[in-house]
Amino acid sequence: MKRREFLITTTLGAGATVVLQGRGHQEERLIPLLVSEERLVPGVEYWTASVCRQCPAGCGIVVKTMFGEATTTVDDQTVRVKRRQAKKIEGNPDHPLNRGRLCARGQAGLQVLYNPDRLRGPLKRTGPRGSDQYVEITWEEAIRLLVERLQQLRQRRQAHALVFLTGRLPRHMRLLVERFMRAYGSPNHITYELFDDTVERRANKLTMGREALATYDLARARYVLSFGAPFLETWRSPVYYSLGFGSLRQGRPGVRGKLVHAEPRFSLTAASADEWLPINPGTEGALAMGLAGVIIEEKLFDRAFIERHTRGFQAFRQLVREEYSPEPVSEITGIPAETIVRLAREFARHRPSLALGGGAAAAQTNGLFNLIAIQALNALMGNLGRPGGLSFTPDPPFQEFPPVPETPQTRESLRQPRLDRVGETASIATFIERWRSGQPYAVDTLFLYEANPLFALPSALGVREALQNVPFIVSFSSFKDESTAWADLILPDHTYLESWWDEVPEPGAGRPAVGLAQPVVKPLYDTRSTPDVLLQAARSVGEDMRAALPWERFEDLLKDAYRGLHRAVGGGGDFDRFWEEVLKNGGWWASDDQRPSPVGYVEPQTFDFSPALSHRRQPAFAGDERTYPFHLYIYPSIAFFDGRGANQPWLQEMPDPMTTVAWGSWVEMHPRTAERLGVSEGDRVWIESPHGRIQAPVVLFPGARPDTINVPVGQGHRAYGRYARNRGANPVHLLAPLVEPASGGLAWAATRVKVTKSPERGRLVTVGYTRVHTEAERR
Amino acid sequence: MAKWGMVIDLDRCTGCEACVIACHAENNLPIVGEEESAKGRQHNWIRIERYWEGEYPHIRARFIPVLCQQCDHAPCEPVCPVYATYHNPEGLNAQVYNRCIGTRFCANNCPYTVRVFNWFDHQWERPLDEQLNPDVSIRTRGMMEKCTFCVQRIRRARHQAEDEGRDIRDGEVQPACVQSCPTEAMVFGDLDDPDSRASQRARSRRAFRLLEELGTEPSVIYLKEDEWVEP
Repeated sequence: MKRREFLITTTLGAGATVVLQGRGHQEERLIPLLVSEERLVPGVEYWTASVCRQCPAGCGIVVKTMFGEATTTVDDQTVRVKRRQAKKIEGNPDHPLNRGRLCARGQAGLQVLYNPDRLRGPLKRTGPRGSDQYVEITWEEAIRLLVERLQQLRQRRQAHALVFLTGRLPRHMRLLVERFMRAYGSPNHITYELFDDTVERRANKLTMGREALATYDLARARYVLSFGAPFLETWRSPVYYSLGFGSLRQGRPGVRGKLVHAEPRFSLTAASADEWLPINPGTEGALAMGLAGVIIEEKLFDRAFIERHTRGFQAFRQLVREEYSPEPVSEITGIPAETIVRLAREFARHRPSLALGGGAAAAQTNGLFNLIAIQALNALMGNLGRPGGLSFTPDPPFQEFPPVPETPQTRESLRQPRLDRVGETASIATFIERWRSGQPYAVDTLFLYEANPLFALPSALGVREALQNVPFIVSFSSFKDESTAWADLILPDHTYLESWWDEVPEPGAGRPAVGLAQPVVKPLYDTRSTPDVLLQAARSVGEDMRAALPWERFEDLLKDAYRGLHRAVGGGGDFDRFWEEVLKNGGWWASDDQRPSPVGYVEPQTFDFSPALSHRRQPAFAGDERTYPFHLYIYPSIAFFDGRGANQPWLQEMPDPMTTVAWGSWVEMHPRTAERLGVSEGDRVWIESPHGRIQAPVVLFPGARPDTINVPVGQGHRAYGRYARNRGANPVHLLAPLVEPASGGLAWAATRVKVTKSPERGRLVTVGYTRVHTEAERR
Repeated sequence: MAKWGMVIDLDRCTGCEACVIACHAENNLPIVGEEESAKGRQHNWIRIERYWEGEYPHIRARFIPVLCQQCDHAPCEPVCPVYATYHNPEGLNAQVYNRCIGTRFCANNCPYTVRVFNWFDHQWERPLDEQLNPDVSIRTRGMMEKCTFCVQRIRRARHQAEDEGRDIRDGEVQPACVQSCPTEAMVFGDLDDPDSRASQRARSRRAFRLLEELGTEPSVIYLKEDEWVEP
């Protein structure tokens, strides 16, 4: 035995851990944090599987850790400590979603963990709101304050006045928060994302009966028409779709697929397409109807599928015949009629052909109609559940937990109306409006978790007033973001690389899968896992909550949930062994050939065309066309997504691929538009909507529509640490508070603006290797 | 002895910059900040170049990831007065940091402008320094640096292969950029092995090399963007 092997064997032997098959290097081992730090061998790489949380996609990752020395401060003294350190994040090669690949944001996750601006322990506010005066407190005191608040609220019979505002939470975290709120007696777990999926879920529910996000099989398609969805950058599952794109293009001998992309902005996805259609904003559905018209007229659709598996086709056919022939569609969309005819023929003849819509196409006041019309193209091709088509991925068979028992008191408070819901439709806009007005009842205590409404919601909704008036705010954020800076109590969570959690990716990879995250390194600071804090609080609030949430730690809940998975797919073996295997692999997924499998695949069988008629609307825009002559097109930045990445210096310094701008905001403008306004590259302009104004430097962008101003989202933080604070502008604050009425989704692509030159000077840093603008040069 | 090379398929590349951040993480590249970025002093061993073509609405953008081309006839090598840059037996254009005296002749003579000079000693705000990869040394002020094809990964793979008494397997070594690439646009391997994935892709009719006419014999082979033709 060689010395190195000997060391590894002795290291792992006593740790009750699995020694795993090599992943390329002898030293590489995927091990859970069961090996104590004293046993780590310096210079040896250890790999731990986890899940990425830099966006909601849920890619599997493996994290390289090594034993290292760190300089840290203990009791105001600088000391050297030896500890396990995370060195590199890579895609988990076995995870079916990203198969070893990872995007720039995913790579930068290490700078979340090691961010110098992390909150290091619980804080209590001492000065006025927003004054940023806090005092450090112990976790005992912090939890006592939290529990007291919750108990008082219950005693006042106001349990429903607790609101838990979160981003889209991962699988069992969501279950925990929902159980917590139910057991406590509040109907108000409110979820929102700025770039949300409400409209898409509703479109799929209406047409295919599934309130879920579809997976599009780009890899096996030959022709892809995409509408508004920047799926190679930020939309849904960019790594999964990038893999699909690679295969679409060059993955099959003799087949070179085509991508046609319709979006008002020439995005990175448009740049990668074979053909870009600079479509009039909000007319994506009309274009889809026009294409459908040609396909139906020329009988190029899948007749057997239409006859057997669809409803409402006759009325749909009549509608497209009457109103969506190529000429009028060309008038609406700005796409030449002959292009529409040609694309419809290409699309129908080169099957499997796939239509996918989202992003700005959904974020219009007629977004639901747009997506329904786009899905109708998939129905015409018979794409439901076929290779190269679309499908829905079922949830893995987890253990179901018994329903939360009600008490007379919780029954009463749970009957109160949910603050974000009118009838079937929940909307963040409804919530903010009711919150601000205090009707039908006032919010007393607000929990914020993975949500930063002051940054990532239009200020025109009145978020600031609402926050100002809520008596008590608790934030669980790891960073002092804009909203957390207003909190009365801050209970910082671990970062995702220090925590237990799991995620079922949605859209999935076409087969049931779950990624399981375990702590990769020990927590750096005196932070606490938020689910553990909730469990601890639940135990103290009352006996009934303890009964509903009996777990000591979140890890125990996860283990219980995976017992159900073990029973369904574990093959009768020992659970502990199954659990170790899941930890080692970074999750569980059905094998590729398991179709049909014990867990069962549910695929959409029928398609209903009639919602295309009942939900048909024209796009409406906020702002009078004469006063506000430009469309405002905001988009999630490839570096910062909805702004959450702006505190990571790697992402700040990363040149934006389309403009090469780093470390700031910019405004994309067509060169002719700029000429007309008398501005040149680097000049600062004011962009003003009926609801606000921002200032940023101009980038002359040949892929901008002359009537549209493009601004990326992500910068413009007024808090969130040294790398993000006071840098650039946040275009979200220009948005009108519009929603898509049937689904409640934010219509963030429907605001008009005017542009004026600003006399102020500023800086635009472009890293174009040939183009560098500094203030000094322009003087 | 392998002849390492990389093949980059521009028909797959989307310009997403995943490779750029992967390289930063793997190779301890410093963050220079806004001021220095404005002066063109960013540290990137791989960059995405973007070229506009045409006019709106028939606009195209083309992306090319550019890294050290590891030339066989490298213009940077003969100009170094102290032999800090030299050719290793596996075809790597290597930089010996502790020989470098910072004349910057090599950077001036590189037609691909892929060499980066350290004008400063770089700082990592604690605890960002805990991420630093111990397999790659930190460069100090006055040194020239560049892409190494992640030589530390090649070395680890070779040690393991030697321990097991075999050759390095195809695909066993992946530089950080290749490994992260979401569209699998990049492939790395032994160009002397005709069966390696890199060699197979390099035989494509779309293959070309950057500034081929200079005779630098790059080890990075690009496949040009394909056109869709109606089948």
